[in-house]
Amino acid sequence: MIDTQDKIPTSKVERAIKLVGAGAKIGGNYLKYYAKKTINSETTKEELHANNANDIYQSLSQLKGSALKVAQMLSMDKNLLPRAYTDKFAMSQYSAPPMSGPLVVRTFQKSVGKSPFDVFDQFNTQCSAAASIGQVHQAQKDGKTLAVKVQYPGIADSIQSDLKMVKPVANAMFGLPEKEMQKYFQEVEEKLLEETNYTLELQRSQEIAKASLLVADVFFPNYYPEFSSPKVLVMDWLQGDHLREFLDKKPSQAIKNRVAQALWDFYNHQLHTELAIHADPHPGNFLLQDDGRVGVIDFGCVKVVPEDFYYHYFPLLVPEIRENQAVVDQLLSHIEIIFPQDSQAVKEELQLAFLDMTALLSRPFESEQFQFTHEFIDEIYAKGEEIYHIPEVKRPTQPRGSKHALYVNRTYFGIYSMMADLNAYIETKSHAWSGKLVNYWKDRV
Amino acid sequence: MKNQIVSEYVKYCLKHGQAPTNVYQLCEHLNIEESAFYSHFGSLDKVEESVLVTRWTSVAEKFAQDEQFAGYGLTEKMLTLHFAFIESLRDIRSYLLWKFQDWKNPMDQVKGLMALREAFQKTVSPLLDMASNQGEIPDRKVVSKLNVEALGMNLAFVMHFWLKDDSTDFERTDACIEKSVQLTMDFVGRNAVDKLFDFGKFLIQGFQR
Repeated sequence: MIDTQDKIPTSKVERAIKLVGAGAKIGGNYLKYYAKKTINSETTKEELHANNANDIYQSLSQLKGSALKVAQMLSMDKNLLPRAYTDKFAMSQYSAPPMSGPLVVRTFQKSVGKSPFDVFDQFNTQCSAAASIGQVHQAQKDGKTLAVKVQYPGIADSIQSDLKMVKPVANAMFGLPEKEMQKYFQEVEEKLLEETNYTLELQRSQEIAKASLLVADVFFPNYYPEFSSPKVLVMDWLQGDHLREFLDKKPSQAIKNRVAQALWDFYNHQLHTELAIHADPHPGNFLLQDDGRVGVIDFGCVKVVPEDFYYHYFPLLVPEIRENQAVVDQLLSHIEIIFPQDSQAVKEELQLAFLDMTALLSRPFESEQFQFTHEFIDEIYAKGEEIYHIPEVKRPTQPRGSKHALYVNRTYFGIYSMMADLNAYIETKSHAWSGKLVNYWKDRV
Repeated sequence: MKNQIVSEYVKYCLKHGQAPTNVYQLCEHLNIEESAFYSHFGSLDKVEESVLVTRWTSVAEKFAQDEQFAGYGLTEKMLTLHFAFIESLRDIRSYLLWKFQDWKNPMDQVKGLMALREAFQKTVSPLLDMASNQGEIPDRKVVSKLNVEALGMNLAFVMHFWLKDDSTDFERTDACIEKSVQLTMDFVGRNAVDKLFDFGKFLIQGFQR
């Protein structure tokens, strides 16, 4: 079932070589740039960046590990790479090489303390699917079909070494020194390491499932803590299709809207009521039913949104708050878009760009219903590229943007593009949370 | 009694930081008559050999009766044996760390592991023959005799890796077994060399015509 890539560089040495390859090539591109420039002064820096992006992509696309995931995340958030690259990044998935049957049995036994053959009536040593850092096996117990997720041994170590290697490449991509990028890396590292703790995932899955009971058309598997451990997670086997397969079956628009509405409500509920979101809106984590209901799995990556950040980031989505200059000033400086030492011109330019972007992103909330289209997504990308061409964004003098925005933005990018794939027409207006935010800021300025 | 002699031998070595120099010392430690010792072992060297050999044979015997194991392919069988053997060494890790250090030059080690090698071959050769008869791996005539040696060297390599591994629960050793056994099996199984050989044969036949 798993696509075994022709060549997956696995050992640290081999991965290091891959990344060194990228570094060497980037150096080459700079040489090319200077050589060309002496002959033809028309040669632009854009061409250089395009070449660099291309080589970084070429190298990273062969890596199937956390290194790729980091690059993917940073590029999605910052809108740094042109659309074509983002698409390619999005295509490549993050997965460890498949484990043999005996290793799965051994990992289970070491971690749970019993052999899977003793715990379950039946246990399939052939893996059914690759999970992000392990793989999923099917098991039977008391007439129930279960999904047993087993983690690849030593994955936490490998994430740490991958991150060390991707840092220089990422720094080259952003043109900022490592020290300044540190807070973003820290955020990503924390999240990735959290994903390796299945006990935490189990606890969060149960919490989120409980908190989202009232969201219509969304359901979750039951989890079995008694057979689970930090490296093994046992839950009900959910049937359903991934987005691609679901769309291939050509469901009616009404069914597609039902799916979209369920996802939309689920995410808004998590964000605005629970302040914690399932931050991995990867299509493989949603199992879509023929009747339009949605099964949600894999809560390895949950972003807890600090209240402070919540009340300074999301108010920008509310038009009436956006019109109040005094509040906007406070918000933008709090979320580290604008710094006190910025010149007036930079301040104005960044504010305008940022408000334009949020106006675009908040469009769905401004009417009762909203029709998501690919044109809308393209518009967001186009705006992103436009912003990227602002000199202060392209070659920043300091990193801008709160680290908390990384996962929140990634999640909403994911949701918006799934909405577009579903061609969704859904109820989007949410008075409850915008009222809450307006109230919060009413007396504060 | 036999097992007791072996486990007390290990304890003696760890406690004194050296192996007993004669049978009498060990028997005193065991509180048995020297004459009783010889009905189990001919010499101290034989006891030392048994430390690893008994672990291996108990692992091999356990799986000889295991239905799950019988249904595995050769690679899975080899992986399972490696995992189980390394696991069985856990309680004598300190002893092995001391022993491997004690084997100063490589020849000592080759000698020290000779008995384990024989036990390993006794278990693995029939498995290889069976896989070969069933067409799971190619029969490369004389060259096939090297398969069992290659797998034996792999086991020795994994033991070394494990003795140096300081990861929690020896997770890195698990990954090492997974990767090294699969790599070795890639050589043992049908691979490019067979196709190259086949192609060469084809060309030669073509020229002869």
